[in-house]
Amino acid sequence: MSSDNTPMVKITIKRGDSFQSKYQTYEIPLQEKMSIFNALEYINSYLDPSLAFYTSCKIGKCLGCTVEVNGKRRLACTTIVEGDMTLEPDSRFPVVRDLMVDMSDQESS
Amino acid sequence: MDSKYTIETYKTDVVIVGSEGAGATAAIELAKHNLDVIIVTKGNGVGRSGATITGEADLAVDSNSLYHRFNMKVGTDPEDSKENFFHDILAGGKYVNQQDIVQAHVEDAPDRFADLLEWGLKPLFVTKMSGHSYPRGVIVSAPEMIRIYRKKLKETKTKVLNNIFIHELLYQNGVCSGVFGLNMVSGNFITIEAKAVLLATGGGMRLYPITTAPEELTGDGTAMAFRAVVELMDMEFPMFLPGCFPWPEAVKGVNTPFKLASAGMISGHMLNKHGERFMAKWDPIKMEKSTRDITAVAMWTEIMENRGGPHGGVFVSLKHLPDNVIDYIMEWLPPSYLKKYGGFDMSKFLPDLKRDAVESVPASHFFNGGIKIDIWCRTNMSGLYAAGEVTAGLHGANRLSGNAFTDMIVWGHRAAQAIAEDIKKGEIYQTPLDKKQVEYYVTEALAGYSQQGDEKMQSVRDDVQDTAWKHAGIVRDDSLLKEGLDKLQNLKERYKRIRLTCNEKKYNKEFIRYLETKNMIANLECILVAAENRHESRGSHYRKDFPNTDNIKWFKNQVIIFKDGEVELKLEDPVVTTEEPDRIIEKYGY
Repeated sequence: MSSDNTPMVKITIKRGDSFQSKYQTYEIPLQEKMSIFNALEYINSYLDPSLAFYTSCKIGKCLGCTVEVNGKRRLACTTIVEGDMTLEPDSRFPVVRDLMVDMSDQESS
Repeated sequence: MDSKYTIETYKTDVVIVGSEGAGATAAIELAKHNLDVIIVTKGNGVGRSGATITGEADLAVDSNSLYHRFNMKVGTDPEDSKENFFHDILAGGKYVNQQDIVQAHVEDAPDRFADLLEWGLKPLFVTKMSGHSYPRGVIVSAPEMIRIYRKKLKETKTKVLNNIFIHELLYQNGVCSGVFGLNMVSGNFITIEAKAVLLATGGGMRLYPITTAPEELTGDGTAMAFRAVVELMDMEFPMFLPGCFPWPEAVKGVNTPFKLASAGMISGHMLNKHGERFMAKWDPIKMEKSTRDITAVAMWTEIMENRGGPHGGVFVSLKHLPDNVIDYIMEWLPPSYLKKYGGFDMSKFLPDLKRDAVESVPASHFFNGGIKIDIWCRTNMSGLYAAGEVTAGLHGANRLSGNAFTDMIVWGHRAAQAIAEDIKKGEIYQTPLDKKQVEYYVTEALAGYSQQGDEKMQSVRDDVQDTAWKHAGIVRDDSLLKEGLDKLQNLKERYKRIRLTCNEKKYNKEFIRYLETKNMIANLECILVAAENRHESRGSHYRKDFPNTDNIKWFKNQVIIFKDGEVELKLEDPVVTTEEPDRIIEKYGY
């Protein structure tokens, strides 16, 4: 996937649920104009299939992929990865696992 | 996942699989009939899955009704009629549409549009879209529609279960008794017993690696129906939108290049790597403004014959225009046209268009085929209904712009009417679940944890998409399709050797995707088999080795039935009520 001169980027993710969590760092090749969604897909597909996160429309409309990026609420699909970052689940909702939250109680967007 | 598992059980009158346009419309109508309804959605809430929210979006209603009944005097044309709309749908679908279904569609469209207006929808404007001879495209906001559906579902107290992936039908002796699937959040299996099951699961666009559609649209409805020996039809006609970014990764599948060249507002040129405007070979009059099916075939041919660009697309250029014209275009174009797409600020992804071209590739956009239904959304299995994109019959070989939205509101409603009526008359009722079938589905689903083998789920899934793209894509021929069928056999074997590695119960994406991949393989098989057998080109099915539209031999629909592990094709005549094509062989294209 990556050659020696591909720049790498560190994605640190808060894993676990509301009871128990830890931070885990993944190093991935940085592609030009890749979104956080692309980064999560890469991790899930090729590094760690146990990583849980939600994704659907990929174009910033369903708002299901909201995560907290370095403490700020952002959509994973429309936010571009430009350097190392820390991702945490959307704190407005109960955590199912990792970045996947249960949005059942709040249907409004 | 270990061998211990839990099954969550529900019982209701009607279960609707899918919570968006078609499913929500059906639930709102069913609420009038005093029936227990459960919607199950793959999404994390209504509006968080499916293609409805991604629509840009025009909703097609005949212009005469817009003018007279809805008093929309701007941009409409009272000369239009339902008959004209009917005719355009057939012409667009290359006449293999079911005319009784098209008839019902054009009749009901204004009534369903009236419902949406009553529920608070505010149409933005009306425009003439490609393939329509009159302005029928009512531009509506998809997020606005979602807000309306959420509000109505709340008002009607419809029970919605989120994050549920239904992937099998429960049935006995040809009668549907419910659905089986996975509660992705708890990790438990789920059965829902019901008198009626309505599939409103959308298309299977995610079978292809480049798509305009959301991630979870893996053809679940068609696949589970196929396995349950429900008839499918027109599966050779998946449609591609000719003009999406192949790159960069974040905006792969976004249709800005289409808007630069083909959509109508701007006259971009499409070029191959030699700088040739290749559309001249396919449609020298309309060029880039040709219909979407022909443009997709033309682009694909350039790409596959190695005349594309470094990122796998062709080029779209505005450089033939003077700089000040480009500046002025950017001034008068609404910002939503080029500079925004969904939540993207597209200016970050567009080069200086005075200098550079962008690359563009056709992307999987819609499934014209699916479950065969009658004019009341009934399938060949008693108790099973289907509505919206998961069905076949309305669009024939190619869908008209705006008819995806009209499809879901008209047919979601018709399904609900039929279900209420059939339950009331006692024609369908609760039949017992086959416990052995439930056990079988559990064992099948968990096979990835116990079977022998060392295949990785992701590698099989990647290869399924790759095979779909190369062998069941836009341009087909005998050797490509036969090779595709060989690869399919291999993929089916490899699927049985997948060894899952993630044992998490809650939202286990590897397990979810393992189940989805099975559905993708089923869809791929249907497309390959139907495409291999259709020895002609029509609409979104193009064969290099049979480049003509043959209305002597192929004015037919292909019905797919799964029997004893094999796919069987049955040729049927389209239902004709008024119009027939000339029984001649015509050149595909202009």
